[in-house]
Amino acid sequence: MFERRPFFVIGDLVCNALAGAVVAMSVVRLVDGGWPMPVGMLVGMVAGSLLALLLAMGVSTVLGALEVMLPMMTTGMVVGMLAGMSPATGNMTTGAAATNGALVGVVVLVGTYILNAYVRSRGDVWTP
Amino acid sequence: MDALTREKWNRAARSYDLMNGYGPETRWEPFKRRLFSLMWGKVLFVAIGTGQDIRFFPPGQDITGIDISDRMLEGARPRADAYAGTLELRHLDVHDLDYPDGSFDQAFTSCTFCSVPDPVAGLISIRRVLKPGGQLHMFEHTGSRYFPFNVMLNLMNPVARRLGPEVNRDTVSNVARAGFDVRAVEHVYLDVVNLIHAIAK
Repeated sequence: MFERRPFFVIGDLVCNALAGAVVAMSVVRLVDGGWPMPVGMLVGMVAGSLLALLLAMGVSTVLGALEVMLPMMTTGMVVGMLAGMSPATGNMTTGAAATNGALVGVVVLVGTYILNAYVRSRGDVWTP
Repeated sequence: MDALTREKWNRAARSYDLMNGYGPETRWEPFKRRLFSLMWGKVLFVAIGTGQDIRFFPPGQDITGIDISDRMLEGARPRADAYAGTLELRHLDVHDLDYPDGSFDQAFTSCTFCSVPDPVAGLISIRRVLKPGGQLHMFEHTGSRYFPFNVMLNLMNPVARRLGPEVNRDTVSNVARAGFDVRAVEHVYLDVVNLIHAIAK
């Protein structure tokens, strides 16, 4: 039920970690500390999803279409939201944001793999 | 023939193999091979595109491949010529199939009904040319019922449909609405990429 081909597993991991890091670094620079937290979260979420979509489109010809796009966009959304609220709660260095973003990206990917296994296990099997 | 759709896919034909090249095709290869291994009898393949799927066809089959884009079919020609079986290519719109009723034992699609302008009408057209009890086997990407994927696909759809396929269609329901008996839906990736198996009533 899980993707087991090393090329795709490693590719998925690297891409989600990278997307998380890039989105986090971009959003902490974009969102101003003076913004209300909900605004920062919303802007971060939208900007993070769009940025991750662009990154996913860049690697989709090599790594796959929806299998790349959906986890990376989820990573962008979650990391963007978290990074968007961080300026309101205190300063975070770009390096720390990148590390946290990469970790969240890996967690999102693992979650997507588990959900995929669950959904596939509930599908039908065609018997001619 | 729908001229707008034909032109859209003629434009897409230039970069189609590059955009749908190694990544998607390699990810989906095991599922497509298993799906196409079900081929027997007289087979209609709807929207054969540039023929990327031909390498997954089992040898020795009698297949008619149609596509609305003549540019796509130009790309498919060398692959069809190399196929170890009978593979006829025809420039046809699925909405206007000119075959008599009950001409085919099976119909196959591969990422087709994300793009057909009127999917239910297209599926009814396929049902007409299938023999009663004929089989429809599809490899299709659809919308999702899981958050946040459903929201993402819905938001992406207005842009995606301008460039190529729609990304949030409920193809399983469309198959049932077209008068097929949906026998099985196998999930390839989440509930977004699916194998759909149905029988013409």
